[in-house]
Amino acid sequence: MLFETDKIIFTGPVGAGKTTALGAISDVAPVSTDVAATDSTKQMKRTTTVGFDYSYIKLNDGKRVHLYGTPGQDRFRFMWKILSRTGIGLVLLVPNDHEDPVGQMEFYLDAFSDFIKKTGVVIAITRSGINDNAQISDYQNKLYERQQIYPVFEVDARSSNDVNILIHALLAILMQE
Amino acid sequence: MTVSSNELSPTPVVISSIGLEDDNLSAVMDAIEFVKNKGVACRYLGNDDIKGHLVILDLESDAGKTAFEQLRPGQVKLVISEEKIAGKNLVSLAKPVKVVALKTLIERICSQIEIQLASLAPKKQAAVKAANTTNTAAPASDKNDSCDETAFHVLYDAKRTQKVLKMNVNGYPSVLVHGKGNSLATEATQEQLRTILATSKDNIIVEDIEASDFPAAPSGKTALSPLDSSLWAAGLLWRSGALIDKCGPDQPVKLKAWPNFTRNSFFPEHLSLSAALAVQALSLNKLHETTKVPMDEIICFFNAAYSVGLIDINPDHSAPAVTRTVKNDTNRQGLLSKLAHRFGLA
Repeated sequence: MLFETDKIIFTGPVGAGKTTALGAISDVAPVSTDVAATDSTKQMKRTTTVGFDYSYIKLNDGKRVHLYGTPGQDRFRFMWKILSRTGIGLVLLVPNDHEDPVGQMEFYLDAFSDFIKKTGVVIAITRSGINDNAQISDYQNKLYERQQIYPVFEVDARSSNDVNILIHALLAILMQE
Repeated sequence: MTVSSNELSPTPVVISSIGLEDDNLSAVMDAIEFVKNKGVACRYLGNDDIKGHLVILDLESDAGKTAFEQLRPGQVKLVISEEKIAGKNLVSLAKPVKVVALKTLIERICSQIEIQLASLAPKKQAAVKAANTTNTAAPASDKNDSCDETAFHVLYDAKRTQKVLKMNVNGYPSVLVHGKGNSLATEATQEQLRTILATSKDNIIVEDIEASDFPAAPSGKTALSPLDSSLWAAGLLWRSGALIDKCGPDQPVKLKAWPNFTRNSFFPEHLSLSAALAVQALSLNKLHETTKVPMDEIICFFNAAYSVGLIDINPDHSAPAVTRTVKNDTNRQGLLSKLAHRFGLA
């Protein structure tokens, strides 16, 4: 299953809403490998994804586009490469209440830079309006500085409409010649 | 200072349908609810009526076929059928209908009808001259001199010159604009605000006010919102086919940042325009050639994006273009097309 070719990868730090976002657009409830959090993650949420989340979208011809959510913790970084192998695009979720959300965006963009060069990325800013540590313009300015004009949208990970727009933007990028 | 209140509502777009099967009817109801939530003033008459500004009909049903012949030329027809058909004031959607595609279409059609209704409504009302105001609106007899400028130009000027001002459109709550603080305050509902944003500049009375008159926080019915959101919306509503500022159709332009599409209204074409302008500088003519998006839509997108500071004109050519190392794989393109279809984009 990990080596399926038609994959969209959802990544981002712990608590960004990857499992929720994936569930918001998939045709079936995601299969999660969530376990009770025991490390510092426990401060943020009761369970965390240690392997990956999986679900799919069924196309009209019956084929599936597979959706994978990566585990958030840095110590599972080895999984990121495995999961993104043969993927078609990346959705990066960044929680705006993280103490350094813009830094987190940069961290993940760097970690997935080879994959992004071959495919495309959209950036979803989640958990806005709770304890905001950045404005959307802060992300845009950082990307402009890095000469990376990627889509950055404020997203409610529970909203299928918001997550649909992310996928629409990703497709618009991928369909560019 | 309080923002004056008025309970008048914009003329709603009336939608009706005829001959729809349960599945399609349910998709239409979802789409209308979605459009209402986006702030479009609309009203649904029911599934057995042909009196709407917009009539949605199933051409394979007997009722739909009969109604199709009876509709007036001015009514917009959204035809659901096995095969796409063409015609004046007619938009066609092939079965099976995707809710996403339907939402997008209904939103677009309603927005266009709403603009037509809005441009008619204020002209029926007498302009109110407020005492002690600086009226920058053209007198009624000079209407043609200001072309078809709208609230968009008032907001854009306020942002450009960092002014604080009050806009009054007869019959609607006032709108306070803080150009420097990028903020807008009004008691108007979303529906009313959309109508105000589409109103001709001739029908707007503009008054300079003190920064201290601008509310620091929301209170009562007065809501604060980013000026850029309204500028963006007004830019898309201004469909004159003209460019707002110094840019010509052959000058290269590039996106500085993507618009925040989850919080601002957009049409699906805006995604391809953004994707194209994010990686390279293109003239609007070239953009039209590359993306096949109609020039009118490109101009609307440009005006909206430029007004909120998302466009670089004649960007630094020394900046390296973002390149992707993706191979031109036909299987991959096929998959992307199917995925786009699945999400109602194709």
